[in-house]
Amino acid sequence: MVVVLNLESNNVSAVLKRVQEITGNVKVSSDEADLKLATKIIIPGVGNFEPAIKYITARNLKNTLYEQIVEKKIPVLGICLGMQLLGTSSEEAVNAEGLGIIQGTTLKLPYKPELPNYKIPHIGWNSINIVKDNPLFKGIADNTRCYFSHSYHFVPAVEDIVCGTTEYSTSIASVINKGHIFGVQFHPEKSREAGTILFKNFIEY
Amino acid sequence: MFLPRIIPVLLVSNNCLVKTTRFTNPVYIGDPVNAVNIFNDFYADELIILDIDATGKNTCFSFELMQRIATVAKMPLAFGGGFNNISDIKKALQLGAEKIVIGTSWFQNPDLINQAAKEVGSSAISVCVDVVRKNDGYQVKYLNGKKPTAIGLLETVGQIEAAGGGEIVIQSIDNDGKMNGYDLQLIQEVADKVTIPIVALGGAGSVNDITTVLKKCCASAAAGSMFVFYNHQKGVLINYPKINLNLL
Repeated sequence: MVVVLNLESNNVSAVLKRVQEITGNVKVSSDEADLKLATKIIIPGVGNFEPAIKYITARNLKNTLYEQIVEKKIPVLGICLGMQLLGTSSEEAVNAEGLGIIQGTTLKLPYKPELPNYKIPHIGWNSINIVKDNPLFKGIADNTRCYFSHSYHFVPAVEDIVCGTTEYSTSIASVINKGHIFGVQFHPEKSREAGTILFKNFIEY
Repeated sequence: MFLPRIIPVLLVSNNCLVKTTRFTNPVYIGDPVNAVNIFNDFYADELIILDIDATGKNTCFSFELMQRIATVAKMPLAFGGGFNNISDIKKALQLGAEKIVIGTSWFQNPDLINQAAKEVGSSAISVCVDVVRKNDGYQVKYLNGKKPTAIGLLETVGQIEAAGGGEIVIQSIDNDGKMNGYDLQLIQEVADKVTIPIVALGGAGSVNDITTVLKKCCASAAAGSMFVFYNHQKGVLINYPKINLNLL
C-alpha cells in the first residue's frame, strides 16, 4: 500500500489523484498503523517546515517514519517541503529539527539584485538537468521542465546524492536519491507527463 | 531555463464563468470545469480562478466547485475570493489548490498574510492588489474596487512582501477587459519595489502585450479577456496563445 502522508496543510489530493491513475492501493493518512503497513511512502509538499514537523511530532510519527524508512528501507518520495523534511534542519524553522533521514539542511533561496528575473519564491516552470542516472527519471528526458513553487531549497551534506539540478538564483538540488530514498524539489503532481512517469517509476521501484 | 508564466484568470459568479470590464458588466462565458478542461489541452502554465461575488456576500470560494475543478485540472491552480481565515486556506490547499489569492481580507486583517505564510509557506500565498490611476499616480482599492485604501501603492506592496506574501498579482482596474495592453508603468513600479514574483493583470489583448510585459517588467503575465474572447468584438472562444518564450 502506498501511503500519502497527510500533514493537514499539504496538497494531498493532487498527489492522490496522480497516484490513483497508477494504482488503487493508496491511502492518505497520518496514522501510525497505516505507515507501518506502507510499502511506499510519499510526503507531499506545500507548507512551512515548522508546523509540518510539529504536526508529525504531535502525532508521534517521527520515530515511525525513521524506523520504516531507515531501518525497514521502505521507499520514500519527499516532494518539495516533503523532501526538505527528510533533512536535519531548515532556515525556515530554526527551532525545529527535521526527520534526519538524509543529512543536509534547507536554506532560503538567495535574491540577487543583479538577477531581477529571479524573484523569490521560485514559482513556475524550470528545467531539470539530469546529472546522475536514477530510477525516478527513467524515461524522462534531460532538461524537461517541471513546476516549482518554493522559497527554500535542500542542500545535502553529500553532493553525490544529487541526481538533478535546476538553475535559478542558485543551483538547486531538484532531484536527490540515496538508495530507496528519493526527493524532488518540484511538484511532479503538477508537472504533466513527466510527473506521471515519475510517480510510476517510484511506485514500481 | 526558467520561464515566466502566462496565466489565464477565470472569474466565477454563481458557479458560472464570467468576464467583466472595469470590474462591471459581467458577461457569461460558460462552465468553469469545461474551461479548465480546455486549458488542460492547451498546456496552460497555471490558472487563477476568482469568485468575484464571495467577498461581497461574505462567503468563500465554493469548496464544492473547487473540488470539481481540482479533479480535472492538470495545471497548478490558484483560487481566490473571500479567503479570510487560515482554516479555509488550509482546506483549499488540501483540496488541490497550489496557491490562495488573498485580496480584500488582507486590507481588513493585515495580520492574515503573516499568519498564513507561517502556516502554509509563502509560496502558497498570492496577494491581489487592485489599482486605479488617480491624478498622476495610483490608488489601491479593495472590495471589488469599491473601497479606496489610505496607504500608497508602493507602501502596500512593500508591506505585503514584508508580511511574507509569496507573489503579488497587480491588477489595473482601468484596463480590465479593455484588451489594449497592460499598464506597464504600474507593473514596472511594483516589480522594481519588491523581490517577490509579480503577475501583471489587466489589459492584455495580444501576444505582443504579453511578450512586452514579460520582457520589460520581469513579471509573469495574466489575462482574462484575451483567453476567453476571440477578438475585441468579444465572441466567446477559450484560447491560449503559443508563445515561444525561448525567443524572448
